[in-house]
Amino acid sequence: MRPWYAFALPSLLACAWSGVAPADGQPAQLAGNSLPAYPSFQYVRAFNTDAPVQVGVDTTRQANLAGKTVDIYVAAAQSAWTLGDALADAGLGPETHTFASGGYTGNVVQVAGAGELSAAGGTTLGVGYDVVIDVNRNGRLDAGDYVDGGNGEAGFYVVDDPTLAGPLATASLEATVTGVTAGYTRERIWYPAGITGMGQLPLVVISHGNGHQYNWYDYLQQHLASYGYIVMSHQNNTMPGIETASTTTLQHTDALIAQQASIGGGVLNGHIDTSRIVWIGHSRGGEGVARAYDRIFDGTWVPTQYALGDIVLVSSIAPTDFLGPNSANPHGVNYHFLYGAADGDVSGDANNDIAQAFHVYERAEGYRQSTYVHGADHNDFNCCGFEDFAGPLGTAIGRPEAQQVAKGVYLAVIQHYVEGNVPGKDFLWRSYEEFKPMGVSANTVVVSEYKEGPAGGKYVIDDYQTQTSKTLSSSGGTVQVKVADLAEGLLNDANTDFTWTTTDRFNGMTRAMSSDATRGSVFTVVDNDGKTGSIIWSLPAGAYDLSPYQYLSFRAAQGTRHPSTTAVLGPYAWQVSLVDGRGVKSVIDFSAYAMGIQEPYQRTASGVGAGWQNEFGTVRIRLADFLAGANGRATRLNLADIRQVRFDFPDSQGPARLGLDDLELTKD
Amino acid sequence: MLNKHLLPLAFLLAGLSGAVGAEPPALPATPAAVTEVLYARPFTLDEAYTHLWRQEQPQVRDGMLLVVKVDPALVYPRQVAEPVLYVGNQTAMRLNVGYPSGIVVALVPGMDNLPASGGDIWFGTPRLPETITARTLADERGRAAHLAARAGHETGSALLKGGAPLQARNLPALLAEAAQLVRQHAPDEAALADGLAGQSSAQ
Repeated sequence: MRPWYAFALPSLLACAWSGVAPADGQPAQLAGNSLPAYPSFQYVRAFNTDAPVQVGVDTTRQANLAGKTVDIYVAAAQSAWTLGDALADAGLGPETHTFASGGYTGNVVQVAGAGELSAAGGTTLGVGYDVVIDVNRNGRLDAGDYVDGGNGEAGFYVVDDPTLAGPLATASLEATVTGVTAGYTRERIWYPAGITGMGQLPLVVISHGNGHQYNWYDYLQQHLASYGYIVMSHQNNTMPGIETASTTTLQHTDALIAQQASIGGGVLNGHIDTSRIVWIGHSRGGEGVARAYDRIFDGTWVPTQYALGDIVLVSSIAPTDFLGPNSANPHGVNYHFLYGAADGDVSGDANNDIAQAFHVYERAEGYRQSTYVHGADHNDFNCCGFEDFAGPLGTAIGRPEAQQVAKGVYLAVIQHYVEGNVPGKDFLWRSYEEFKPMGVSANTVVVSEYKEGPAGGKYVIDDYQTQTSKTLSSSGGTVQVKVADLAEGLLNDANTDFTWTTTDRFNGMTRAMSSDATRGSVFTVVDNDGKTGSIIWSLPAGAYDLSPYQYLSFRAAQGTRHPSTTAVLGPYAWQVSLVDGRGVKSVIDFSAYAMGIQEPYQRTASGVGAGWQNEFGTVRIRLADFLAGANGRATRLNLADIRQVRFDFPDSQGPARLGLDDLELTKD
Repeated sequence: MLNKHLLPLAFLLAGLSGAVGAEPPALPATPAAVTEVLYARPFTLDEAYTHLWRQEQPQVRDGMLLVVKVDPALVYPRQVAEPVLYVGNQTAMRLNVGYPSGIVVALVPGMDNLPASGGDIWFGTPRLPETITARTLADERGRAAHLAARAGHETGSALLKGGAPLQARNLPALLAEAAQLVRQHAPDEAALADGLAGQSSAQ
C-alpha cells in the first residue's frame, strides 16, 4: 500500500523553462545540508525550525550556472508555477550569489537562518517552501530559472517539534459500548474540543497490553487529538491470549463507529472518517493488532463498519509473537514498529521466540518502519505499568523521554500514511543523529529502519530470499565476496543466548523463528590484514539503468558480542560505490551523512558478554549523490549504465561483524 | 558517531557496569498451588456465556466465583506466557491482575470443579489459556498430582464466606458482582474493577 500522496519529486517542468533538469536525468533538487565529506551536499525534504536551510548547486552538473550571479528566493510553496509569476521571498529577502565552477565548492548558500521561516502548519506537520533561482534577477519566473518545488510537492519543508502539542484544544470522554466482549466494554476517547465545527477526522485505535489498562495512553491520545485525530483506547482482552485481544480490537473499532451517534451524547457523530483508521497495539495488544488485520485479510472476520482497505496503518509497540507467521502477520498494510532496547518483558532474548518482537516487523510486506529506542523499557510507552528496565546502569532514558520519542514518531508516521504528509517521511528514515524531533534529547539513541513497499516500484538487487548461492544475488547477478565467514540464512539466532560462538553465525539475529522466511547475510570484516574487504554485486543485463530510481537502500547490523564488534565499540560505516559500463566509479563513505551502523545496546545477561540483539539500521543514499562533482573525475558516472554496486570495507574502518540485507533501488 | 575508532568508551563502560534491578520478578516454578482460598460462591446465570479461556470455548451457565491468595510473582503481569490458573478440570477466568496484592478473583465454569478437599487449585505451565484443550488440562493435572491436598475446611470456610449462591442474568451482571470483590480484596486494582463493571474510572 502506498502513502496517499502521489510521488513526485520535482521534474521541474522542463517543458516550461530551460535549464532546470541536468542532462543526467536526476531531479535537480536544491535545498539541503552541506556535508563534511563527499558528496559534499545532501538534499533533504525536511528541516527543523532550529536549523538553517542551505541551497547547494553542483556546477559540474548544472554547468550553465557557473560564473552566473543570481538571486535565490525561498518562496511560499506553490502547487504549480507559471512563467511570469512574481517572486517573493518568505524569509529576510533573496540571497544574491555568484556560482563558481567545479562542483559544490563555493556554491552552498544559506538561504534561511534558524527560526527564520515559519513552521506553523496548523495541524499539518511542516510548512512547504519552494526554492527559485532567479537567473536573470528580474524578480519573476522566466525560462532559464530554476525551481525546486511545485508539481505536487514543495521544494522543502520546515517542521516544528512534533513532540509538542498541536494547535487544537482537546477533550476526552469515557464510554461503555455494546456488542463487545463482556468485561471489556470501556473506551477512553480523545478528540479536538471543537470537533462539532470540523469535518471527518481519522480514527486512531489503541489496544493495550496484558495487565495494562485502556486509560494508560492519555499522553499519546491527547497529543494526536491536538493535531485533529479521534483517538480511542479500549479495554483489551489480553489475558486469554492474542486471539481474544484481536477480537476486542476488531469489536471496538466497529462499536465506536456504529454507536457514534450515542457515545458522548453524539459529539463524534458524523466526524469519524472510517476510511482512515490506524491501529496501534502494545505488547500482546501489539501482536493483537497484527492478528486483527490478518483475520480480516484471511476472511475469518468481517467487520461491519469498515473494510480491510480502511486500515491505513498498523503499529505495534513491543509486540509478542505467540502466533507465528501465519497469524501474527501485517501482510501488506503500512506497518510501524516501536520498541525499547531495555524491555524486561518482551525482551528480545534469544531464548524465547515469543519475546522476539521484531518477528512481526519482518513479516510486514508493505511500507514498513521501525523505531528502536536505547534505554527504554516495556512500560515506558504507557503511563503506569511496572518498570521493567533491563539495560545497563546509567542508560535508562525514563518514561518522559521515551514518550517524547513516541509522540514524535507517531505524529510523523500517522501524518505520512494517513494524510500523505511529505516531511513526515524524513523522520522515518533519516539518521537520528542527523535529523530527529527537536523535543528528543540529543543523547537519546534511536535506530531506525525503513523499507519501501513493493507498490513504489523498487528493484531488489539482493534480499537473500530467493537465491541461496553466495555468488549469485536475488536479481540474478554475480556476487564477488572478499570478506570472511560469509553466511546466508534465516535471521534467527540458532541457540538460546547471545554469547558469540562460531557455530552460531547468526548470533544476535532475532528477526525470525524457524517457521519464518526472513533471510539475510552475515560476514566478518577482518582488520589489519592489509587488504580491503569487499562485496561486489554485478547487476544483471537489463538492470543497468538506474536513472528511474532515487535511492540505493540497504540495511545492516553489527553482530552482537562478536570479537570484531567488541574490539572497537561504536557505529560503523563503509564505502558504497557504483561502477558504470566504462569503469567509471563513484564512491561514497556513508558516514558523511552522519550515518553509521549502530553497535548493539550494551545490555548484559543471555550468556557471556555485553550486547543485546542485533540492530538493523537502514542506509539510503540518493543516487544523484554519486554524480556530485563527478567525484573528482573527468568523466561522470553514467547512471543509465551501472554495472556494479560495491561495498568496500577499508582497514581504516576497523574490524566488524555485520549483518546485511535488502539491497534495493527505490523510487522514493 | 562517524567512525567506530572514535567512540569506543561510553557503551563499553556502561556494559561493564551491569544491569540495574528493575526487571520483573523471576517466574516461580510450576505447578504451584495457590496459597489460600479466601472466598467461594456458586453462581447461576440465565444467559450462558462463552468461556474464552479454553480452546473449546464451552458455554457456561453456572460455576464458582473464587478469591484466592497466590504468590504475587506468579501473577506479575507479563506479556510473554504466564502460568495458567486451573481449578479441578477447568481453566479459571482471571478477572484481575493480582500483582502486587497476591489476590486473584476468578470465575470457574461448572459447579463440580471445586472439591470439598484436594489440592487442585494451582498454577500450571505458562501458556496462553485460549490454547488449552482437554488434553492439555489432563496433562497439567497429572503434573500437579504431587501438590499437597488442600484442607477441606479451608474450602468450606471459603464457601461460607461466599454465602448464598448468586443468581445473575448474564456475564456482565456477574462481572459487576466480581468487581466488588476486586475492590474489596485488591483495592489497588479499583480502576480495573471499574472497567470490569463497565464503569468510568478516574485514572
